[in-house]
Amino acid sequence: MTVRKELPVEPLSETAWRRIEVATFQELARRDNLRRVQEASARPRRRFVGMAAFAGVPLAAAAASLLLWWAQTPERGEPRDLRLTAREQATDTMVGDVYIHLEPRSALVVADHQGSSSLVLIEQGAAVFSVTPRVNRPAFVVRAGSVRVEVVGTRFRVERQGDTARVDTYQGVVRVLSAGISRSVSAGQTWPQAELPAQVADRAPEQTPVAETSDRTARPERPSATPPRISSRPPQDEPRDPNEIRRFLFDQASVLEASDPERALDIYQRLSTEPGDWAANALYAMGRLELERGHDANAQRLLQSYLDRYPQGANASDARSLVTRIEERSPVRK
Amino acid sequence: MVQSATSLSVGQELELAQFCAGGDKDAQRELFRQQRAQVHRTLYRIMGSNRQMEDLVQDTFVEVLSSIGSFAGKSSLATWVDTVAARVAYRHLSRRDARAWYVQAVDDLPSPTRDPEHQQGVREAMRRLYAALDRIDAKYRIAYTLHVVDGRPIQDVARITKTSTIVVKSRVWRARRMLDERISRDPVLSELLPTKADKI
Repeated sequence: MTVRKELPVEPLSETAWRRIEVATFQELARRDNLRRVQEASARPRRRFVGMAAFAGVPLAAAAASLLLWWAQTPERGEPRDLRLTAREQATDTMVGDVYIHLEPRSALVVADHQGSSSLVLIEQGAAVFSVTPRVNRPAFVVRAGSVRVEVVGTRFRVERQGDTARVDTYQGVVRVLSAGISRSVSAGQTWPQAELPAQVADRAPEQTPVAETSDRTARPERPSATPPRISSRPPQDEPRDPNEIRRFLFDQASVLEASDPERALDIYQRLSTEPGDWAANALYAMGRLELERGHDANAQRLLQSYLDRYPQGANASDARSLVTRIEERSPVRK
Repeated sequence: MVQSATSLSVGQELELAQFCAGGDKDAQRELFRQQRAQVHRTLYRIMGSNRQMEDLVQDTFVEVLSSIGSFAGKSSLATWVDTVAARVAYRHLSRRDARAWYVQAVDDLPSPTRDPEHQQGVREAMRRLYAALDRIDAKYRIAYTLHVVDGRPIQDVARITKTSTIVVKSRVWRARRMLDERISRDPVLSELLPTKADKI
């Protein structure tokens, strides 16, 4: 007797099948990339050994040549940014150990992709990222408009929507920072939960021209084709309410963090002395940014100042964690 | 919606496999979509639920597409894929530490012949059966679930598990013996399954 007719196989949803398909081909791409890297790293060694044996060139001379080549390579040591674009079809790319599925009509920049890259800027569209656990390495950061997403190892999607973004987490947890507020988005969750404000949602996505994939030596461009306007006189489509202006300035500072941190700090500094809720956010952002830049002492001072002024603030918990981290790292600075 | 596998000739299956082995992404996605329902069914019968199913299906297809070059057309592509699925399930069951496993509540599916109360009874019986199967060796479980629960012929199970029919019979017999005592003590289970250990 069989029971197969008694108990039907419970079907998987199409969403689940989509997830499985994406994950399967991500894993295949990862393995393929790993194989290529291993082959590429093995090839020169074989060639070098063969040449030396055949020509009888002294090993020391070969090593010296290698060092000379290394020193003379013009790009060595300079940050090289990688721009990825997708026109009508999605593209799959491995950058280091990060898998990027770039959706159609999307473009992004991977900052310093040959170094210890941990920053991606989404210019337009959306991408799914699979990040392997980054133990003892800086968090992987994706920026889309004024939204910053930090991960330490997970799978998630970020879609740029004008100056803001939508974040879907498939595996693990990511931290989304926007407007000075930090939120955790766990697997199965989406950020933002609520509908976007009409003013942002109605804004058409920026139409950055899509170019071919290429290496560039310049720092990553700002997500917007035009530089952020930071003036005391807001244009027509910008808010006139003082708090809204502060929020606008805060967002612009957030955008500038990667490309011009000094300017971002200036704006945060100015906001931190003004009345209203944005002062707290700006003070915290200054401390966080200084910590990211490696200025631990200044970061500790700013974060402690935040905690003294806003012990119940929205970022108080995070600020305490960061202070603890600094203290553990450099106990003498207490 | 679960897609059913499209039936291809041996030549077409070999051609598809060759394209996949050559790295043709479209062919690989085609194979995925053709075989996914079959893979799911096999894994579901062995595991008894959709818990961790996504990981298992993914592992199966990663293995299938990584080793598709070794498909020689000696069996059907579906059987070859099932072999991989059974191997993935075996590995999973063998290394599983926590034996807490249960059958998920199955959505009520329309049944023209059975009343809801009966279906509820079947689900409860299956839950108990898979709880009992958690206590036996993975290779006995696979043989038993594919033959007894899913009703596949012994020869098919032998092909999938890459063993002889004698070995499959032996495994099913042993699994039945291990389960018989529990089934005979459980009225819900005994209504669903036979308890004659020597009947294959």
